[in-house]
Amino acid sequence: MLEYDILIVGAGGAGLYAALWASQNPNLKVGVMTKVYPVRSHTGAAEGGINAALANVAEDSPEKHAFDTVKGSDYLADQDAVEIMTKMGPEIIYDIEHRGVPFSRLPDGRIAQRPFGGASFPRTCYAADRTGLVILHTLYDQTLKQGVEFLNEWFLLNVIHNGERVLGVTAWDIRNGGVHFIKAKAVILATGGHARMYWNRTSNALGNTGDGTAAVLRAGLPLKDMEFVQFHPTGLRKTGILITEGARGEGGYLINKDGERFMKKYAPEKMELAPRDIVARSIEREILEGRGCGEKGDYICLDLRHLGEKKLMERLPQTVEHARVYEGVDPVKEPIPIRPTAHYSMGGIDTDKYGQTEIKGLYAAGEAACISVHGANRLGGNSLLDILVFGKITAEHAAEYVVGVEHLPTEGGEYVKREEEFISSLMDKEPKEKLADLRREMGDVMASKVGIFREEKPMVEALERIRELKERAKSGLAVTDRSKRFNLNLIQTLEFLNLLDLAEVTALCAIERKESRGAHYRLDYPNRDDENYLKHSVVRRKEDGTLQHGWKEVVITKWQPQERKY
Amino acid sequence: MKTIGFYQGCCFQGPDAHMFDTLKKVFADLGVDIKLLERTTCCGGNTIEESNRFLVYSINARNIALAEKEGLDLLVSCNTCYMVLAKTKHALDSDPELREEINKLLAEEGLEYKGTAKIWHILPYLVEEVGIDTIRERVRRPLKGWKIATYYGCHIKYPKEVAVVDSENPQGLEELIEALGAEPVKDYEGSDVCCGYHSFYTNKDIALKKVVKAPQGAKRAGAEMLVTPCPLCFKAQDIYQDMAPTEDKVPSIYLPELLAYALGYDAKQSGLAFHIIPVDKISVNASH
Amino acid sequence: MTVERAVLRVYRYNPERDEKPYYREYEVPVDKAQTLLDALFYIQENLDPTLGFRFFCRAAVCGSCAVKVNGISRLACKTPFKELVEKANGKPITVEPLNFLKPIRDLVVDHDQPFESLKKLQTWCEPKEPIPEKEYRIPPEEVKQYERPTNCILCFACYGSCEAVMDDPKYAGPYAFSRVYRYVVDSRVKEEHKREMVKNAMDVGDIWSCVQCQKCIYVCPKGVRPAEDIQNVRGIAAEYGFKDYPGVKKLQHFVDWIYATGQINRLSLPEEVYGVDPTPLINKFRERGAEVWEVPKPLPGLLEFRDLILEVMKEKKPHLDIDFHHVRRIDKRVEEVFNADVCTKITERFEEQREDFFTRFWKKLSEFFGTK
Repeated sequence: MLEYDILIVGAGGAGLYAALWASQNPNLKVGVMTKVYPVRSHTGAAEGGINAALANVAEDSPEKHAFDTVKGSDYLADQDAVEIMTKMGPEIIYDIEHRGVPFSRLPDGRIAQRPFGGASFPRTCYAADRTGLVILHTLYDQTLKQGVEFLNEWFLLNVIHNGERVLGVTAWDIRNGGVHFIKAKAVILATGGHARMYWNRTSNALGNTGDGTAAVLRAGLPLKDMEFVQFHPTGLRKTGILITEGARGEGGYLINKDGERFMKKYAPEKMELAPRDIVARSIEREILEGRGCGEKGDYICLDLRHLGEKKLMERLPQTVEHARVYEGVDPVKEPIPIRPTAHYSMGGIDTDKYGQTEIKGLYAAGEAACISVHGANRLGGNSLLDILVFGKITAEHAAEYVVGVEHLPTEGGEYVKREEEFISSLMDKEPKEKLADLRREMGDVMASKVGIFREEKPMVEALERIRELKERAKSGLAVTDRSKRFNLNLIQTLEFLNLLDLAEVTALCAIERKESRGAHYRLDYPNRDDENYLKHSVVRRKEDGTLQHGWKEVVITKWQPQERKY
Repeated sequence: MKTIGFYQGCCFQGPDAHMFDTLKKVFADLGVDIKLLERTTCCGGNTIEESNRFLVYSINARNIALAEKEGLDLLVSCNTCYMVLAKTKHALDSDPELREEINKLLAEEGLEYKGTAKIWHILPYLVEEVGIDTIRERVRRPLKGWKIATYYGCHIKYPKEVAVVDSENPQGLEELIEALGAEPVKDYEGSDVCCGYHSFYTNKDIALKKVVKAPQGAKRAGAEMLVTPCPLCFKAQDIYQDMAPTEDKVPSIYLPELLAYALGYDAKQSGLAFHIIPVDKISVNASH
Repeated sequence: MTVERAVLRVYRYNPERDEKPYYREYEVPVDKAQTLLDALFYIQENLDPTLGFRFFCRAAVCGSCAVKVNGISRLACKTPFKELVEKANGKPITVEPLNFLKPIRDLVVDHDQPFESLKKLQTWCEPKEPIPEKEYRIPPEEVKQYERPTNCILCFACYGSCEAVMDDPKYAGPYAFSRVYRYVVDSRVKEEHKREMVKNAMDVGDIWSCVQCQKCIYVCPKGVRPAEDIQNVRGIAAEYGFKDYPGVKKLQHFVDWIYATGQINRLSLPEEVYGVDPTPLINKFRERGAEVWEVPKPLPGLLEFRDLILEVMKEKKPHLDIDFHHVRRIDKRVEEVFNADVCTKITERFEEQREDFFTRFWKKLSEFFGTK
């Protein structure tokens, strides 16, 4: 049986950084389990940058960064957690810089910083437009140096706990097939977000299916703020693939069919660099009101032509490439067709400011977690910071915790048996439904009814539809490939079931929050309602399978809610 | 008669001086006057890059500038020379700062890189400029019944920005072989495998493993010999293949030699007589 | 309206149940797929749910989905399907796993080994002391040097196309050496560790096995140029003084002979690199009646050419210096073989240049210290 002091699930930025800090203590046995390989994770797709108040190009401070973050969150972020994050920002940047992250530089050799949406100063450190990629790879190189142990291509099935302490996890060995119980004194879930519930209308990787978050839900533990899904304003029209906010940071224009820079109507000061939720809604509104471009009027143009080929190739090479390959458009010569795309899950596993859940030894970090530093809306450049800060904090906390405890006496046989039975049941079913169809339906329902603009009736319908899909999946979605080895059919089915569970929670939370805040915008309740909803929504699944919805106070330290204007 | 500047590199030295004479004769017969650019030097052999890439750009900017000074395009036979020259041209044409820096250095010799000269590799030059028909008309000794495997070599296929043939489906040699009356053998196993030339002096074992792959594949596909437009691939397949521990060596022919023989020159005049791995197909006493 | 369909001929192999690999053909409507990855999804969703392949980001950044398409390594998610179909011109498009990696199932191969190589080569940053309180100061020009290699997504497309991997199981792979280069030119990395990485590149990773075919540059989906990074690392090895490797001796030959004569001398390479007497080979050619030049003819313009090399070397320091003693020996041989006059002139001129060089050097030095 595999046994670790600390098991980290997920090998993106949060997982790898946690691994580096957890394995600082050479006496601890630390393992990282990932359903892919470490450098495949979605951190690598983060393009624009990472925020920290280095004050390299303008006066800045962690307090200002914290305020921008809180304001950006529409006051739903827990301010104590935000303060921790922004205060640690600079030391984190210096740490990864010392580990070799190839940041772009100022002429004097210091780290360059650029302006980003919702920030009052140029605060975003970057490496051209592949910041996440170089951070992920640099951290991976460091884990090799530190001799971190990896379980590559293992799929998380369930988190096992006894109501008080975590015991470990059950997992499926993708390459060889087979269920395993992995014993661990502490488990850090760094399994990423779940915006794939919007299936075709997301910037997320195909594997961002909220596996850890869904496992926590199944384990009877609370999820938080699940209604908040950030739509990134600039996804490519056809695929949802992201065009970085850096493109607007460098001076790109958003243009409607009349050639108008329409952001002047919605955020006259910040224009294209207003926070993401505002820009996304503005684009969506332009489209809905008939000012979209193209024959169907279903997109808006991101115009970068005035930046010139040299600057584009130097600062935004990946943007240029993406536009060329996935849209067939050369941004040097033509504007890029874009529309908002589901991008980031602000909600996730409910934790305290140290990433702890209510089960001892069970932590969450990164996009899987809701700590909450992003509240109702995340600022660009804050997610890379979030994953590193809380990757480190959870690791250090876990490392301290495990020293004082022993493994619980279990061989895990009963857990393995339960999983095996479940997987057999998937294979033994008569196939009546097609995975691809159900998945597409889920995506369509979520995008059309629980998307950028929300309203009671469609959302109630959506919830019903998701519950129907769950029933259909239960009765008729079978795994038809019975092979053990690299059984994609099984993995994709499990991923889809995870997404369905989370979609249900998202729809429920969105219905319950009868106000508009950050990314959650309700046409029937267009205003923020601090009196009733300055609260985190919390959902847990009861033993009978029904969802229990409740509320939790927001931590406010320095900044009382004000109207959010840009 | 067309005139073109010829860049010789280091290809026609040692035992290979005759290969240039062959090439010159053949091109003259095909209506092209080859003017040797005498002051040009070695391109660095894709090796000087290891020490100093800027030096490679400088000496090859000089090589190109020497042709430009005489108002000539450059014709190159060696795949590697071609690639190194073309990479230089690509770098200088896309980076005005680099070009200026190098032109300052060239000014001492009264030279300037302008970017006006085209760099031709002999294969596309023969196909596109000379023309298959012209070649077919000049054949005096049709190579009837000869089964010849085509071997393009790497440096005219990769990297993409300098490739002169389709990297994944190179063409030209087959047409040429057919024009000479012979039968081409294409897409045999190993046709895309590197000849190993450049690793002979960095890791001999690798070179000796590589060099037999294309010849053996060609043989299995029924070819009696290989033909290549690159003098380095040819040298590898002639000298290093001979050193490799395989039986049944397969002769390799440098393209201009094959042309010369088909145009009527004898084994010595064409150079075919001097091979380490003998070309059994020829009759040494044959004459036109 | 008829929908254009393309045939994909896909490699299938599940060691759990298949004795040996086989191919299966699938018809995919062209308009259902923007990329090859979409086409594979089409097969999986509509024709055969058992097809095994890897994917994750579908946006050319995670490196999961590299496969071999009609013999060429490509990222499935970055290969426009329509272009592929047009190029295939009615023939089936063959999709296979990357070469040289252990099969797992269908298009999925084991990536452990190439990842493991990075560990063996120790391609990571050991920070140079003293570690600054804030960031290291790094000029933007330095960052430019590792801009390209840090684009690498470890998809191993290069590995699957590599001519050295094909014949040297020890060879680490093009991507690994781009990684070495990336850290070796990073001024944050400790000197001792850089040396270690370069030594590992040679002894553990067999960097001298690279044949410089340039295929890795061709197949890289991210514009990395491993073959050139390999050249760079080799040069740095020479600079570090690893003189005993054949490749370094070869480089010295090129540096010296090209300076001395404007050409290399292929007949003296066997001796200078491997200590092998070339006479038997020369004799073979003579027996066949070929004329053999033992030394390349000195070229007109050689003096100007030498000037250029010296000037360039002043501006951009080479990794390996010219060995002027060797040059003198070469000059002597050229004198013996050819017209002594010309060569004497070359040698004299060379002395002048050296003198000139030192005069200018002292002048610069004194200018720098502000003395006359």
